[in-house]
Amino acid sequence: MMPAGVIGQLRPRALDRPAVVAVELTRRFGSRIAVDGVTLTVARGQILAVLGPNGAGKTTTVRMLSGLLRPTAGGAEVAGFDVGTQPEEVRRRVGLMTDVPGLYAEMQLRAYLRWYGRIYGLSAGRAASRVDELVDVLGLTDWAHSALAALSRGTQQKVALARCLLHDPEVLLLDEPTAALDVEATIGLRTLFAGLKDAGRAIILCTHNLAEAERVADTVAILIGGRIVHMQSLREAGSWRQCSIRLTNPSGLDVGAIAAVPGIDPRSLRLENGTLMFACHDPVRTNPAVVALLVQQGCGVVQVEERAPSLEALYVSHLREAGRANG
Amino acid sequence: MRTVSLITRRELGEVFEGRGRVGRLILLGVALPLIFLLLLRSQAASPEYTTDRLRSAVRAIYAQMGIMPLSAAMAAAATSFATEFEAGTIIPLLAAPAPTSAVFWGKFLSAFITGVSLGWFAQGAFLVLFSPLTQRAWPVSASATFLISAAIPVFTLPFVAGAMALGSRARRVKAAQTNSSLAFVVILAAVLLVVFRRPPISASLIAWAVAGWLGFGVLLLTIGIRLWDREEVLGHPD
Repeated sequence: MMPAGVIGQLRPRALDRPAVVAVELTRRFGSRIAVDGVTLTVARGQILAVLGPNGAGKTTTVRMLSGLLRPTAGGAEVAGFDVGTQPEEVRRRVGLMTDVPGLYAEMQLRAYLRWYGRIYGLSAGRAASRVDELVDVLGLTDWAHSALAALSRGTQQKVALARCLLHDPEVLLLDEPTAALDVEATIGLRTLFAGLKDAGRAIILCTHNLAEAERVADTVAILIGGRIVHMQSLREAGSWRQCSIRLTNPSGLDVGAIAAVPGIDPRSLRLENGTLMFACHDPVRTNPAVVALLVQQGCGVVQVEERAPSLEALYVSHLREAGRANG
Repeated sequence: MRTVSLITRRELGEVFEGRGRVGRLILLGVALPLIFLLLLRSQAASPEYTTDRLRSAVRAIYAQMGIMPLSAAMAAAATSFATEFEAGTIIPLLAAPAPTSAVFWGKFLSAFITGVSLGWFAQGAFLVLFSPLTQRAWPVSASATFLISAAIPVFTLPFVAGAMALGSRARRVKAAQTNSSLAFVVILAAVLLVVFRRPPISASLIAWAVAGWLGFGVLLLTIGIRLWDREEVLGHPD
């Protein structure tokens, strides 16, 4: 948890609306569409994890939301400011952490952070005191006078996090923040993210690490080919159960009739290698009805299973679907 | 302005801080005058070498002392952006709430100051070492010496601006170095022109030359800022 002094009060006007609202956010580079109609909302005190393979458009999305790139179409409001028309205001309120720490190797840690504090518009005195606070909170005191090149990768990432917290941003955009970190450093950063979330900061976390997303995020979005193909609250996901029924004769299956069974999520219904799979809230009620219907259709039920759906299974199924769609 | 000054100071710190770096710069600033003075020494000792001939030669060499270290500043200017790309430091800098042009101006000023100060340092070294090494009095008038030194910033501006423009879109240091080498062709041509085809100098010619040269510098700066476009630079996510 972060001490209260390190994270300031949010502006009153900022509290009544979501920290990030993107509507049909699109970015083209020549003929290539990097981000294609991304729509998302992140409330204050929420963490949205954006999952996706390399080249899915995560970095471009983050760059648009941080006011670095203008959208080609659609738009986004971050901390109450439009990314297309008020990028400097957006950048003033956003902290961006990239997968590479991006530090000036020969500068000393404290001097570097003070310099960045001044770049972010803090007075010399305010920058110095802010740096002292962050160095203390992030456990960087031992390295305060060390050259940045001499620090371990984990410590460098902490310095990068300190840099993006210097101006006490309302929104944090973290692009692969734990890439190449050891377990201890990852746990440390995760604790910090939780503290920031508790302090009302909205966080967008782009990651390949599904376990990390499951641990820290409130909502996950799966981004493939520049489009959000799936978005759900993890709390909501926790109440769903993944059911699978192995059949001896799937040829007689009437999927439409199964989809009409109350409690089934019809979008989740699919037949894979003779096994019918679907998601439902209450398998105790839903499964007997489905089994009865399957027997009626002459499908021959061999085995019924139900378990909590994993993010990994969901992610992999979306990747496969995207792969099939692309031929 | 504050961001420009902060970036300039940081970049200058990178160039001039540290004993090793300062040592290399001093070596560069002293080695060049020393080589030229040693070459001049034997000629200056000859009784046939008149004061007029010496004055003419010293004027040209003294001007070149200010121009030649410029290559170091041009290389720094050309690779400035690419170095940051390779180190991954440019994105955090651009994510700060400052205009994109502030980054360009900060880097330009740093390279410009580096070029001018190295040029003046080399000229100073040449001036100081001249009499002890050649056993002759400094043959150029004080006003001409001052004018040649004062011309260094004017001469530096377009070269550094050109190097910045050439390097502003490079994402790799090697590519930026290749680009900047194009500018060396121009600098070499200019030096040769000064040495071998000195036009008759008049006050109006100098005024026109200075105005034209500065105008060329401003044009190159404008092109550089246009080329240094955040959108273009970030248009190819890694």
